Amino acid sequence: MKQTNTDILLCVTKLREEEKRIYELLQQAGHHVQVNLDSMELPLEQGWADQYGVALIRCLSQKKALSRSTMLELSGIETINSVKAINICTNKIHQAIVFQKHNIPQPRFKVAFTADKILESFEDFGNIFVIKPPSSSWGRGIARIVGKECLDGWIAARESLDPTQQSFPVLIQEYVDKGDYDIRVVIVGRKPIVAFRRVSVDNWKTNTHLGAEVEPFAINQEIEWICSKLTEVLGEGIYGLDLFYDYQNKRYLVCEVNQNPEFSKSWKIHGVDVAAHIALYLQGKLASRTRQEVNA
Amino acid sequence: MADVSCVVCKSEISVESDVISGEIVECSSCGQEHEVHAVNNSISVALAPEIEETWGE
Repeated sequence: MKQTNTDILLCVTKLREEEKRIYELLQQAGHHVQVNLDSMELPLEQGWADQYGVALIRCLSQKKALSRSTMLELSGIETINSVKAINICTNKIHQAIVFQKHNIPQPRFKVAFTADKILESFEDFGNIFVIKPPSSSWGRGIARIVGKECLDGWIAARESLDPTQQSFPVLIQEYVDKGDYDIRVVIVGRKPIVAFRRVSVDNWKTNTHLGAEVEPFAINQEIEWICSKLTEVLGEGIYGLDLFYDYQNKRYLVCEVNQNPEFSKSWKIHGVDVAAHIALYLQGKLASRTRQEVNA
Repeated sequence: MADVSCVVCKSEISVESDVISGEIVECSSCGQEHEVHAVNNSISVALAPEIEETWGE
């Protein structure tokens, strides 16, 4: 019988409060956790990867998360999240296409490959819409366009930095009247474990990085259904799902899904121990792997 | 407890002996952040990673 390894590889850029708590909980449960920093080698030669049962990808750099998970997955280690999920979640255009294909409710969108194409957005979305770069976090690079003059300013600024439009395509989304908050749902495995509102009175962007306040929020059936659809499409994993409540059409819309949700500030407010859920999930993955190998 | 040198100003930085690779320690003299490498009871530090374009969730 093949020996099953219960070591866990923890790929991180730096050991923040989140990762340190996951590390300590896994150690306490008797697992050996090997920290692998972005600055360290991934010695993939000679079966090095075989010693790990699973790899948790918590790299801060989305490019590195994708690169490391791809190499690890190709070498035979299951990564959390999967390469497919990271690939979709780190690109807002990929997400929009996938959600459309699988009828996951989201704001209306189009993909603009040139600045001229953005000008046509007024016909599609009216006088107000949102431009998003394919990859960005913490609200960076996301602009709400209100009127032609505003868009002219955005295009002029973009031209001065990117005259050959190398940073296109961009995602254009309708602006959703969502009030002063969005909703973050943390999914572990296939289950939404907690939801909270991120309220920002002063900024239309509701990222906690930009100062939004966290308020507990109850998960309802509609949100559960969206989470179930998402994990059907992306596969199980660890996700931070951002939802808007569309007051006009009275339904929830998926703004985006994050593949490496942060929780160091929020869990102290809503009280759900996200790190403990993640640690238990990883242990469950290892246990099911052991069962499969025993039965093989 | 172990002592290491700041990569920038060479001041002494004290690091707890139960430190884990990847933890960040700051130099009290110049403020430089360092990432800790803890391998086989040997502790060293390098410059902490700087924020990158694709950093985030």
